[in-house]
Amino acid sequence: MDPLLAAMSGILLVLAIEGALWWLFRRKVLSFPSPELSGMSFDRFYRLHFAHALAVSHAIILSVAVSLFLLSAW
Amino acid sequence: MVSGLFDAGMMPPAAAPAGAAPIPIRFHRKYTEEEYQFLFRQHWVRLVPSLARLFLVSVLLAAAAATLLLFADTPLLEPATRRGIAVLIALLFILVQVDILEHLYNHFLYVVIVTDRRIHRFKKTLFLTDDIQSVDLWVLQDIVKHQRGIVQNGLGFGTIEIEAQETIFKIHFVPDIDRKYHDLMRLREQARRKAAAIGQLPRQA
Repeated sequence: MDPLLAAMSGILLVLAIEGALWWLFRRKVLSFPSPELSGMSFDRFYRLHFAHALAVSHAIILSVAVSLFLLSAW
Repeated sequence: MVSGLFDAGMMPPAAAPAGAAPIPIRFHRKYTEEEYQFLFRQHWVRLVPSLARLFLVSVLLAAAAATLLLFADTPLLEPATRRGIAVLIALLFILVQVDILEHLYNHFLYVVIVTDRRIHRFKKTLFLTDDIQSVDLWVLQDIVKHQRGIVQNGLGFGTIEIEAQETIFKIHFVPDIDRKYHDLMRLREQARRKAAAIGQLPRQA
């Protein structure tokens, strides 16, 4: 297997797993009671914007780290 | 349905100070006519074991990866063996990262919401748990605060035990527990006064 292909596979695996976890998380979150607010989103009310930021940055950093390692070690 | 309201950049509502009017936020669709008071999650110390495990395993895997890269060009390792070890290290690293991410999501999914009428505990995990427990404030008999040990007292968290009729309801790792305890006591008295006013409870002299 080409090292670039191995690195791409690593990225896809990370994104698939993180995407699946995110989908599960959102499915659970949507069952929280929805407050009637003006000018504030559901996510910000429950402070879920931190979870959003964490999920995106974690996925980016992990996929970059895994792909660079596989490129180097292949 | 999730209310996709425009985010005007407002900060999440903080707890109403003692004696102040409650923040006028209502829950609709599920719990009508309840005025939101405050919400909280478990204390961050709950994540420390997972973070410690993440750090330790990451250090070990980093050492293994560095050793592999050091010997990558030597004839000691065949290419197939080197690639197999690289895949194994990558998979283990992904697994330990997925573990911490799962713990973080579970932390976000454990929410206690206190309104002027009830305490709602949402205890969910990604895969195995989906519990919702609601207790009316005016029927609460005892509210007990437990804080034991240096860590709990130093970091200001503990367990609140709520007794209602024949049910005991425990909330562990409550952050800023002193304030939460006093807020719950105050809200219970307010709920009892409201219940007495509408005839659900005998008026107290």
